[in-house]
Amino acid sequence: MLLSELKTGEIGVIVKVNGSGAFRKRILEMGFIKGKAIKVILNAPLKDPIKYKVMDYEVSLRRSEASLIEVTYPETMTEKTSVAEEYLFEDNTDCEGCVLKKAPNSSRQITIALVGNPNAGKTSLFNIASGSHEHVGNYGGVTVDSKEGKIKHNGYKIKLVDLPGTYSISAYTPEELYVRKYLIEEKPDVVINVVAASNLERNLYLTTELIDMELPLVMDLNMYDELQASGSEFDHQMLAKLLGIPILPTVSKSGQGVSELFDTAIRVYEEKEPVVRRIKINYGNVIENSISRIKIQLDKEKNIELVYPTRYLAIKLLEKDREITRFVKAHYPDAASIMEKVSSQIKEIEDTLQEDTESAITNARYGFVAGGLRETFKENVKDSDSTRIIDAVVTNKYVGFPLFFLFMWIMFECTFRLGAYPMEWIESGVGWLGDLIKQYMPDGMFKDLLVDGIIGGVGGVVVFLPNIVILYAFISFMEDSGYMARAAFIMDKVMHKIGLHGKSFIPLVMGFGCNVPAILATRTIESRNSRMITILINPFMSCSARLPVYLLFVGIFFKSHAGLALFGLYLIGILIAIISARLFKRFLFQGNDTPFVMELPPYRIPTVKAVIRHMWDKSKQYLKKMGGVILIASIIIWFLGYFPNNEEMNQQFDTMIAQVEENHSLQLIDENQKEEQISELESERNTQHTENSYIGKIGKFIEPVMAPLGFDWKISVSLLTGSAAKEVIVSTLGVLYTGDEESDETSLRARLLNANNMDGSPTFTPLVVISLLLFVLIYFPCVATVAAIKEEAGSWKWGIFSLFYTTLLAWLVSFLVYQIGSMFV
Amino acid sequence: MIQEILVAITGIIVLVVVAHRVYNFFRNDKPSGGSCGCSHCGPQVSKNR
Repeated sequence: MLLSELKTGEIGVIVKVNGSGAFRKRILEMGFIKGKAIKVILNAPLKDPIKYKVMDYEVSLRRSEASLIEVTYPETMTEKTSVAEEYLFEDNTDCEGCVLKKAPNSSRQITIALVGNPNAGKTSLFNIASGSHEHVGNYGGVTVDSKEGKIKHNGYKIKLVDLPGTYSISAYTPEELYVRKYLIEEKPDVVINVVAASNLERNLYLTTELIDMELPLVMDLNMYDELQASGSEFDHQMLAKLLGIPILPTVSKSGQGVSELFDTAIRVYEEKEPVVRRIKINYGNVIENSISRIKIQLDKEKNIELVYPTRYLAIKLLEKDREITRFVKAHYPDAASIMEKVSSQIKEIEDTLQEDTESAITNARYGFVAGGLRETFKENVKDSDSTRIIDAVVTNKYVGFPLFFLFMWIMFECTFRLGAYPMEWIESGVGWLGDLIKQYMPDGMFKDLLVDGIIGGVGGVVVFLPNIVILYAFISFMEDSGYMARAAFIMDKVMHKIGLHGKSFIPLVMGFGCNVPAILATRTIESRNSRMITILINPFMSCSARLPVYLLFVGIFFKSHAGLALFGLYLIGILIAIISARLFKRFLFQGNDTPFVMELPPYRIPTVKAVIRHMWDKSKQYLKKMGGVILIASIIIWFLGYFPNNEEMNQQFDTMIAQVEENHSLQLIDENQKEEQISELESERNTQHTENSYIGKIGKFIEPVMAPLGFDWKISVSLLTGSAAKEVIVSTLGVLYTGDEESDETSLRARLLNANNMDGSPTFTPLVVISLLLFVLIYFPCVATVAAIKEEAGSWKWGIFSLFYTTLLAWLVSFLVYQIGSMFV
Repeated sequence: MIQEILVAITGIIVLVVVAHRVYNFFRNDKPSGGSCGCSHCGPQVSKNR
């Protein structure tokens, strides 16, 4: 029977894994091996994917993928139970030829690389050790690039490198390839293998590959507190002796055991660690014979630089590893006969063992792990009640989706409502500062720059800091608790319908924070088609830089339903993303989707410290942006709006004002009339000055294109400058809509509300604002995002495509909304 | 006059910063894009000598 035919709650034993290529390899490595028990936990709300439990962790598979796995009920299992359980650990011998380790040098500067499964806690360890604040989350694939940090420990300067999480180093995904290349080419002095203590069996699979690579290893038994709390007993010292690798229990999030871990890493580097012993994993007679034969053939070539250990090369060749095959073909003069030997050995193994070499080697590795754990680990089998109860609710077929949308709505409502109070305080502070400068600084050009340029521009944006921080706190909670992975789980079928992958959902939600890291996060998606579509639709996810624009206008025109209006904007963005994804799938990226294999981590309550640190980091980032791109843009916009200084026009206005004053002195007009006429002249002077300024000319130049959307030239210029960063739209509006000289409107909201067109009609009507908000939502977020698209897609073509596609679409949507809306309003 | 000088200095600083950022942006010739189109294919990790 097939795995997909098992009902919820039933247990099956894996008989055979069908399928081919990356999917098969991946699930074999994740523990879907012959003889393993697998339990159906639950179905997603739309009946697909399905959550399974195998090897003490939870993983989701689509129904179509589950149908590739043959299972049987445990009671009908007549064959040997598992290859793994028959493994004799005593068969492993010391590796005598392991020579690739770098000799210690006297510089006391070493490189330590962190390697481990996704969500094993590498980045938490990296952060606590190096004092960095790299992004962590309770789901796999948060780290998509290597991060470097420097620490000093026991007189050593350590370069600590955090590598992306991988289940193996088979080079099937970009991360795996990256990790393997790094380990081989950089040759770190010590490798810390971070292992999640809560899921030893699957995590140790990667350790077996690291042993084969003959790397100097230390094992970090992370999340040791969870293992202790589970009641399981683990003799880690015994396993350390068996593996010849020192094992140190740690709790990375609190820092417990981290110092001892680095002490051990240094001892390993200095070759003073007594536990260290080079072992050779025994793959069983049949495979071992083939390895030896290939190794002999490889060893014949004496002039080859030993980049990879030859035993490792032989194993990988038997596993049909494409990269290693390419390497051998490129570097070994006698490659043809080597490959011939490999083919004959593969055939021999497959004929003898009646299974392909990939499965046979994976089974043997899991056998090695099981052998080690059998002697050292007594598991207290206990389902995590809290995870089971929470999952029963958040992935329930009736309430799963409503709960997700409710959570989203609460997020936006809190962003607006809770953020409104500190926002008012900051707004008053900015107003007070502007008034102070206006009052005490003598009139002049620099005063204008300070008040209208810097305070008007930066001050207009900085007031939204609390809202951004609140939004990030919610996103951080979703990531750290494990809910994000569940959201991807319940959304997979919907995403699949629109041509995307469930994993695409995570980068899309991350896009609510910032599109740039969200686009980088698409690296965890194996399928090139899904990845490209996710990258190209990511700009429709409203990033936090757009939030100030939304809050500004929603706060003026839709105040009573602000949360709903914000939610609506985000939903429209999602809708446009869905439509665009369908179009891209249909016309640009046809082809089959990759399987959905995703680990579902247990729920973890985010610590207050982690959430506060996240909020603090985001505040710092936002303020840095204020002092960087927003400040620079505000000053440039002020310059463009202030110059050229038309002396002739000023003189004309001065003459007219002098004429009014003379009329008053001749008692031709009274005091009120004088003030009214002077105010009108000043306002006229301001308008003419701005219109004749450089920015006015740019605005007037693009106004004909933007006028059909209901935008005047000032709005048009703001949208243009917003291409640097979306917050700049607000700062530009702040600089351009300075209000009347006489009026005392320090709040940008008040100035916008009172802005009028030449004919006296209000510039910002609800229809103009809707058209504007839609334009801001749809057109490309910023130059950095376009650069990230270019970088990740591998070509400027896609960056430029995104720029034109989003901008043209924004124009079209705003045009339709404004023109159709004008018929009714 | 002092205010005009301060504005001029501000303008020059902004000009330099912008020119530096634009230069860095285009000078950034990191190799990217492997056969699969992602920036991770063929990572350029130099060997430790």
